Amino acid sequence: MKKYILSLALIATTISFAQSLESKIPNTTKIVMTVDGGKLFDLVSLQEFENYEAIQYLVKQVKQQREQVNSIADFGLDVNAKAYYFYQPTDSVMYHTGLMKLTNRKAFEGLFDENETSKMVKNGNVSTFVDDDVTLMWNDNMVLFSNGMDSYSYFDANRERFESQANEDEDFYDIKKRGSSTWNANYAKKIFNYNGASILSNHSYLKSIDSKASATLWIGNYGGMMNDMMKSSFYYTLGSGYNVNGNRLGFGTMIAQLYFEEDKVRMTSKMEVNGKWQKAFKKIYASKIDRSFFKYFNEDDVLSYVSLAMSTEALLDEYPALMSEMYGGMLPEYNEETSVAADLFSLILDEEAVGELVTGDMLFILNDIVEKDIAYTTYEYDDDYNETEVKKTKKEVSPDFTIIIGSEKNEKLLFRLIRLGVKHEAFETKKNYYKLNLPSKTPFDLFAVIKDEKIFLTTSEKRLTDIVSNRIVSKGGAHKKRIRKNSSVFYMDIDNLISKIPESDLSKSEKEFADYAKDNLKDAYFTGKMKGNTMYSEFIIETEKNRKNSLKVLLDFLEFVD
Amino acid sequence: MIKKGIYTLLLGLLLLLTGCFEVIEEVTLNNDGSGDVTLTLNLSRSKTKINSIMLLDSVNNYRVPSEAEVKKHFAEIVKTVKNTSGISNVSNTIDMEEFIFTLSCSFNNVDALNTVISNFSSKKEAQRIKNHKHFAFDKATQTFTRSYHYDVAKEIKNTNMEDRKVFETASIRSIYRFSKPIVSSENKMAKISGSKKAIMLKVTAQDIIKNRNSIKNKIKLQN
Repeated sequence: MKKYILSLALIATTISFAQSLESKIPNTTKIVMTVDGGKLFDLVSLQEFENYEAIQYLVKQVKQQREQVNSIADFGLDVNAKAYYFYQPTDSVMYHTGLMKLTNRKAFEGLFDENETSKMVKNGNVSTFVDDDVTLMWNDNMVLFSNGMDSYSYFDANRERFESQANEDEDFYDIKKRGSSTWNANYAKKIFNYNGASILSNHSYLKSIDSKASATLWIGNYGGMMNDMMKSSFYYTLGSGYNVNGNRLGFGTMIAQLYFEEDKVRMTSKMEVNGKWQKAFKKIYASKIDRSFFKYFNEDDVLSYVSLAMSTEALLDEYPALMSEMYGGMLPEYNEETSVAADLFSLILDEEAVGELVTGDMLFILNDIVEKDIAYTTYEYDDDYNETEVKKTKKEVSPDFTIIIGSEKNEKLLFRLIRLGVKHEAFETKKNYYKLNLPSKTPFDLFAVIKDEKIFLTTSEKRLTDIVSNRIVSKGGAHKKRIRKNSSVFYMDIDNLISKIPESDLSKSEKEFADYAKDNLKDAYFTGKMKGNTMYSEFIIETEKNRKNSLKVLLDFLEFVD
Repeated sequence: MIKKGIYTLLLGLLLLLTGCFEVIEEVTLNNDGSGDVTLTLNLSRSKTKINSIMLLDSVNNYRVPSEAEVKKHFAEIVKTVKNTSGISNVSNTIDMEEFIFTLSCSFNNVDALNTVISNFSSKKEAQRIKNHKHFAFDKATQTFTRSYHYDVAKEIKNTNMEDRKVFETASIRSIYRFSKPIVSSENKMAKISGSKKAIMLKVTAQDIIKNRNSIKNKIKLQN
């Protein structure tokens, strides 16, 4: 029982410590990024981490200046706690702030040189160090870092007022620097002593917290943030009519997270989409790829693929309105023009007919990378160095791929198009399929057929005749589910793909790099889908189980690249 | 994004192939110091890569020229050579299938070749070429000298790693023919022909970058 109470108490203190940093982040903050040191050093111990050359180099560099530093632990920072970065813009200054826990204040203070130490101001238990637009504040438990960047447009708009406040010998640049430095120092102080409503009272932020994530990025309002960034930029002041309203882009909260699991690295992102955009995206991404596509999918014949399932009809329907919404918002002077352009677009295109011609289901498969003999010209010389032109061959790799595009009902139109193509010698008719007359310099051939409400294009004549005569192997495996569940998938069989590249084409370092990737990385895939009002995406790299987890594989890889 | 993915994948594969090219400089020198020269740039081994690059707008931040632009640029070079005094019989070939370019001409004396090079150089460089001849023939001692004043290794080191890859498998070959037999050659890598009247030297770009060798040579003929 005692043990449970003890561990409970331990957990409670950990949480309260973690909260003590988060409670300093105001609830009006636009972006919060969290790095969970405890999580990372659980996966790779601090000792292992310090064995990496890059880290040893870093420690050595510091040691040259500060003799007492022998390891990262000597920085005095609590690397096992969560560290936070957050961003809060005002109309005049954009504040970038970092918060970390301290384990050893004295060690931390030892990192400053004599000159810097003389600039430190200690007030009660709190020390402050200001250097231009950077302010550091710390006590026994935590350190705050703040960097204030001035907004170009704000200072430019108020230039006269600021110039009237100039000290002797100060130009506009100096005034800006003084202004942002003072404001930043004040901001740091406010945050260090902050006691108001914190980000922990923000429901959306709380929802983003995931104890399994090694790092989390939370952006309260993605559209709004884009707005702020554009507004404070130099360009904003140039174009007076440039009235950006990022909110019209319809993006809400964005959350991205990074996970290091035993056998994979996983990055996820969620983006809320609001208003008109949500309805449009829902319509565009409502469909799933037609099951009949899997008849032509054989997982044993795939190095990489891209799948796409969307409604062309809905896209064409929604596109003009969305564009007019976006650009009309950005360029209000041209509101009328963008709106007319949108209507014209709809008028010219018959969305339904195009949607039938190209449904929006698409599968691109890289089946193989094949070696081909390529002839080239060079010279040979006789005993008297007289030159003769000779043809030699060398091996080169060429992609072997298949593209399948969904097309309904409009086969008649397609066949008319093909007849026209044959007439103009863009195609050549084979028995019951076509060969495309590509420019002579294209390093592959392309064969096509229309069958089963699909357009097939492939580099392999054999594969095409197999498709025509139904001699196909259908084997979807795990891919089938993944493709059906997402509106887009980008998959790569990394080790197989790399082993297809001829070694002679790689330099020594590239070969080492390729070998490491081949031995340690397996499959990678990116998936994207829309569900409810949220766009989800996930990027996964599967790693071999030859190390204790994927973080270790990744760090070893980085060490290797160095 | 998906479209971009396919594009990147396909082109990435093609661009992975390392390129290589050869430059051949052939000079036939007569007794009176006049002669003929042919310069060949052969990119045939890299034609697949060049064909794919030519489908792009830019590569490594360089704008990719169109076939017409390449031809136009080459025509300008030919024009400049034609307008050089002491140069005659200028002819050229362009093979855009194999990517082989040749330029040949006759010269009254080798100094005309220095003028040609100067015409493609800045004023400052031209002045340096005057003091440091790229081609020289001393009739009295019957010595033919091939040299240059650039620090090629340094120039190449100033390019970024991505650009430098282009030179990884490149080579330069020089073939000089004389009407008299060759007595000696300073560049130890140069090979004198059976008839003793021709000399060939092949240097890889790697040799030049690493300062192991260059196309510089001093060739002494029988007096």
